[in-house]
Amino acid sequence: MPDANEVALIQRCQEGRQDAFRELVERYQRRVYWIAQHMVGNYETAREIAQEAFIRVFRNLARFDVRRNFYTWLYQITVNLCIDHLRKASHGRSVDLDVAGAVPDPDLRDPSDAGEQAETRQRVHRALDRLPAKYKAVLTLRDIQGFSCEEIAEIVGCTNATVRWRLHRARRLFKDLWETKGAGVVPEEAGETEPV
Amino acid sequence: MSCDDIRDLLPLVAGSDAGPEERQAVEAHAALCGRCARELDQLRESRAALASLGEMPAPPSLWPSIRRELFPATPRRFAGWDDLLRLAAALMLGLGAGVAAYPYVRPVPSVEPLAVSPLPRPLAQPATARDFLFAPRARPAADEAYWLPRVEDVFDSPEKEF
Repeated sequence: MPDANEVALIQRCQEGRQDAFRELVERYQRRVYWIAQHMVGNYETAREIAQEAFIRVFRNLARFDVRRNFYTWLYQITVNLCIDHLRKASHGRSVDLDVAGAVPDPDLRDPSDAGEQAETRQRVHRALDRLPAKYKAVLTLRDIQGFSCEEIAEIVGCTNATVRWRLHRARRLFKDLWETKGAGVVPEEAGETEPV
Repeated sequence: MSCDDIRDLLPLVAGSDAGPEERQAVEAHAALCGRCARELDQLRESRAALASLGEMPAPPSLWPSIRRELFPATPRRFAGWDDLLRLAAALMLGLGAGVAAYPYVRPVPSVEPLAVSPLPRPLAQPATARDFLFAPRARPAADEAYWLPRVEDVFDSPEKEF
């Protein structure tokens, strides 16, 4: 059940209150941005997707049922935008490996980020990039963002059992790519970027 | 359970997504099967690498660009000096027009007609300057009526100038 304070905030947003929507953006922008960044692997694209997600939320907020969890709806929009982007970019998509591991913006660079950590991040992003979108989505939401399987099912619009199955496949594929440092072959059955 | 059955559960156990019974079965099998134990360790290691991306700093605020898109600022019309001068000019014109038109539109005050003096009646005796100035009582009542002295009665000779 949604928090009462958040319900009140969303209702103020539905009235068109700019200050209320700003508060909503500042509350969720971090997570939305990083979901997008981990899925598309590009700083600028992730930022554009995050902005677009909030813009779409605002324009459709009048139809939102406040009894639902707002964040699952927001993240659902975010994930769908990422998948749309990946589908358009398709096989020609390039990952900013230079930025996937080390954040390009000086404001975001973690000063304690040693070389090993940066290398780990690059390796993770290299492996993630090889995964099909639907597996990348569940892996990002579960193992990076920490959502439960029930929440992921609501976000991606499938059943709990489907989420568990995709997690099973995604983790196995990721493990293989991780072991081969991103050079492994992704099986054909998982090669297509299918809608979530 | 066979290795194939266990291998299907390994990714879920590695991510703490399996039920307690499934977890116990996998751990019991992994204690005896090196291959499944190795795969379980690899899955946990790769998952830990993924989880290490979770702690990321906040990005620069998205609000400015979102606000520009959703709430574009309308050009603010400042009522500057031009507008104020125009207003002042309009007021002055109105005032001037009012002042100019006032004499034509003001209400004419009602004026009571002055009492019209009756035609002077001829006097019994021509009035002298002295009569005019000093002795109204000495004059007969008939001559008390208002009358206008004739100039020649007052100034009929140079000696009678006041």
